[in-house]
Amino acid sequence: MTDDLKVTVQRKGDAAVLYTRGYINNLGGEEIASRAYELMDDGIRVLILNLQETKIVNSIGISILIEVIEKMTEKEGRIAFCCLTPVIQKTFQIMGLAQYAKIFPDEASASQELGLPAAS
Amino acid sequence: MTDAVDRQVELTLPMVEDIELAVIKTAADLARKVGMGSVEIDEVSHAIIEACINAREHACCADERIYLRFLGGITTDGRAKLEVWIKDRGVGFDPSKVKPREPGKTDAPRKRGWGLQIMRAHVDDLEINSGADGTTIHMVKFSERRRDD
Ligand SMILES: Nc1ncnc2c1ncn2[C@@H]1O[C@H](COP(=O)(O)OP(=O)(O)OP(=O)(O)O)[C@@H](O)[C@H]1O
Ligand SMILES: [Mg+2]
Repeated sequence: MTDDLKVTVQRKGDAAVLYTRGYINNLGGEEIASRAYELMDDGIRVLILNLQETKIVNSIGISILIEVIEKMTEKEGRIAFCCLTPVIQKTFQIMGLAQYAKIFPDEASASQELGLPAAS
Repeated sequence: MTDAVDRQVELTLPMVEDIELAVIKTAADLARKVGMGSVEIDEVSHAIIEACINAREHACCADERIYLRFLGGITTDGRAKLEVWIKDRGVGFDPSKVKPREPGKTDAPRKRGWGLQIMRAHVDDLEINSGADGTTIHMVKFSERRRDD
């Protein structure tokens, strides 16, 4: 019954796209955070979180994503989200995430807006 | 449309990590049977998740159990309806003392304290009964569309 979150990363120059698969609960949020911090330590300042394969989230997981956004903002980098289900998008709006990170319908529009090389 | 079938499920589950996944599976199965749409099922599922993690995080009850009741049905005007009761025998709390969060009103985004607001946003009706015997969250979700639309 476990639905442990899987994270994969695709680097594109000094930017990266982080793909999630599964439930963003506290463990899932921590997994995303540790991968994101690794990338930031490596100099990545533009990060897209593609949540295409994530269908459920909880408030604890999202609160960890807010911490990631804050860390990236401190480093004057940018984070964007894409491919959210309607309910996850609504939840992000309730929690005010939409005010601190941009949300795009698909990876192509996120990449274009953040100046990433076109999706391969 | 005279489908008066009510479908009821009761469950008692241990308060373990990710138990909310079993709860939302039960809720979704029942909601689908009464004809609820997938986005509406997804919404009520996210509300249920918040109620379950609150019971696990805050109730601090000796029995370490969550008591659930689900009731699916069709309204007289043909809309799917799901009611869920999520109960713990924990310490209880005073919902009127929980301050609503306001995104964007401070420099830093609020990290915690969103669960109740997420619940309210995703269902049509939410009732909290809490006291020394524990907490019961009662939520009601209707589908927008009638089944025969
Ligand atoms: N079942 C419960 N038993 C006891 N106290 C509860 C229960 N549910 C909620 N509370 C109390 O209500 C407060 C608000 O709950 P809410 O879910 O909105 O926020 P949170 O759980 O603190 O943080 P978040 O849900 O954002 O992770 C909790 O901090 C807790 O004090
Ligand atoms: Mg909560």
